Amino acid sequence: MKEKRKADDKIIIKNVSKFYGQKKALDSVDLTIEKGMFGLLGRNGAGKTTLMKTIATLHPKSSGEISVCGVPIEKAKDIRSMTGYLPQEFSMYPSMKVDECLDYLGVLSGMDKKLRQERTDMLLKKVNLQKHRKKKVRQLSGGMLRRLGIAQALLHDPKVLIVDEPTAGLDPEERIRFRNLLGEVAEERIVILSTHIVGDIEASCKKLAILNDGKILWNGKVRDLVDEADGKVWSAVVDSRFLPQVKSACTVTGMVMQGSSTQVRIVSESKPDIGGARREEPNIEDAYIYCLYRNNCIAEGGGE
Amino acid sequence: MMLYTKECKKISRSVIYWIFCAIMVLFLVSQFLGEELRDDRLVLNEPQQGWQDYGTAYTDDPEIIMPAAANALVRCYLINEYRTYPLGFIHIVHLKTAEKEKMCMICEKITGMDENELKDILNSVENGNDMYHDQPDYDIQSRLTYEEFKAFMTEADSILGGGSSFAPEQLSLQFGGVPKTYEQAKAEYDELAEKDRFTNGYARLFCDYGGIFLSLLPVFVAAALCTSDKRSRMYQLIYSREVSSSKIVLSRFAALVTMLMLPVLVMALWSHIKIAMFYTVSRVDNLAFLKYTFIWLLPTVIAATGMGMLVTEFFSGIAAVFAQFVWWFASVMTTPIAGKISTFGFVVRHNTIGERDVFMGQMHQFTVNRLFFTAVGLVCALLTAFVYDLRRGGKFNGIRMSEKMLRHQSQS
Repeated sequence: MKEKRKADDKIIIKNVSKFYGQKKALDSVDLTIEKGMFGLLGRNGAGKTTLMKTIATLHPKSSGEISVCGVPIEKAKDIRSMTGYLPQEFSMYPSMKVDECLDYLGVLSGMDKKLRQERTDMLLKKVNLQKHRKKKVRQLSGGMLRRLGIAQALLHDPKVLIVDEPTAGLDPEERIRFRNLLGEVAEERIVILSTHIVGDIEASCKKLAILNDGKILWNGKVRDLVDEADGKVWSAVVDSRFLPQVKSACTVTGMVMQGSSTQVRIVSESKPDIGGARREEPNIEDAYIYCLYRNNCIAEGGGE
Repeated sequence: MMLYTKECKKISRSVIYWIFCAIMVLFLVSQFLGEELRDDRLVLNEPQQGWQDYGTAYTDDPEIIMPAAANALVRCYLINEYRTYPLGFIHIVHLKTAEKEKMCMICEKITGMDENELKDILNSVENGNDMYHDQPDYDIQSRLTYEEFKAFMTEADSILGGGSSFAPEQLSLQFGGVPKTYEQAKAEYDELAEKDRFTNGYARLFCDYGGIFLSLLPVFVAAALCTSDKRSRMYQLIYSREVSSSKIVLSRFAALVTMLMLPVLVMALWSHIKIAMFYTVSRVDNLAFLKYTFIWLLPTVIAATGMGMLVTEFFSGIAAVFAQFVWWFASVMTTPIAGKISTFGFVVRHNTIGERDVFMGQMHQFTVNRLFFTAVGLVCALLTAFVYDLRRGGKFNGIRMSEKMLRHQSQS
């Protein structure tokens, strides 16, 4: 009974693979995602969107098992009733007004009129679109549309929220606002945030998984990922003329030009053979690059 | 019901829907309301003694048809120019030597004259005689039965590639025209007044006109609605909702049918009011337009909409429009404008306010036809729901003909 209740709050993914013809988009993925904000980090084409669409029942898996809050993924209608999905690229009928769009999607979620009105009012307030509710979708800015997107995903009060690259293309202020919004809603549900922007994960997630070529490279707490990179991050000041040699010999994660010299930040198992190199505290970006480096996804010098 | 209402509202905002309404209204106003229901034309319906002309009646009498058809064929043969309508469009045919010889044989057999005698007729025409008014007496009936004559006409039509006036089914319409007598015209009017109570006859003509466009235009609105989710990049938001695929598709189907029927019903009501005002309300059948619009035009809209949705979901909107156009064109071009209702012909025609008995005599074919196309539309809608569900779950992404063709080209 206790185990059943535990499963009710989790997404459990067991040995899931997905093929597009011959191409393996997901390769034996095992993951358990609990309540709160969970980050899915990886390069473009790593398989993040495929995994999210599979959880949202928009793609069939080729093999393996997935259960969402105790419900097997095969029960698409039940999964859809408890899942909110915000795709990477979306819009809404351009000639519809903001509140009409939410009302239409509320009908598709089987909500009655009173509940639709209540939830629409509440969510438009939450995403700061109350004043724009009578605007047509075509009149919204990119940031406003994203906020409307999150409102529609939360409309039926889902247990699980899946958001795919929600901050791509937003200005810094909108991005911070959006991350805070996700943080708020993650208090009472599972939120899966897919991104290739490391800063989004750092600012909002306690746990994450790193995907590369359809495989999970790392899965755990953000703090542990950073800890693993401890002692592997170095910085040095080099003559700018020798920068190409440094970049080809080491995995450089950052560069700051200082006149004729450049301060470089390097990920390396051991102290690099550069005069004046000193150890640095790793940040999540370093840790992510180190994870790719350690798993041979990038070679010494930054190539794949 | 809520989803159905929302879909109706969505359609009402579509530009394509309003274009559809405008075309329907313009067509029916120009062809039916403005032409058939013109006041002076309605007045002419009740014939009076002493008129010069009571219109034309078409007879199946071989005595009238055979000489007229033979005369027309000989004339065309002598100038070697034939007008045919193989796909509804005019096509001028000039025969080559071998075919000309075959046609010469046919002319000789039906007229009983040899080529030289036929040439004399041409010379006589060139000397100023009017071939139609100075029609020679071929005395066909003493040599040929009507069946034999029709066989020669079939052969002639075949030499011309089909679609000519000499095709047996065209003979009465093309060569059987005779002036109506007062009695005939009066009997027709009485039938319209008593049996059809005016509005039934006009309602059939209204449906004849309406059916021509309703068997094509709905596909544009259906394709636009079915592709709107993708065009506005909203489809994933809809796919991930709880509602079943069948509820989405069937609500859209019902909304489309309702909205497409609306302008037709408005025009039907307008027509009814005009006729009722002319003949007085007590003399007309007040439900005729409603009745015919539903039993005649609703199945057309259901079938065209269902087929449009299915092909759009399976292939694309452009493919649906193309397929519907081919179906419509083939059906319109092969259906006589009155007198014959085929069981499986999509377009039903009866382009006259009269000939009630001819229409009623085919009521069985009409009923089966309309039920068949209602079923076709409903089955298409259900299949659309099935295909939509496959798409929604990522199990089917539609077939893009353009991609297939490109792949085929690159392979070859």
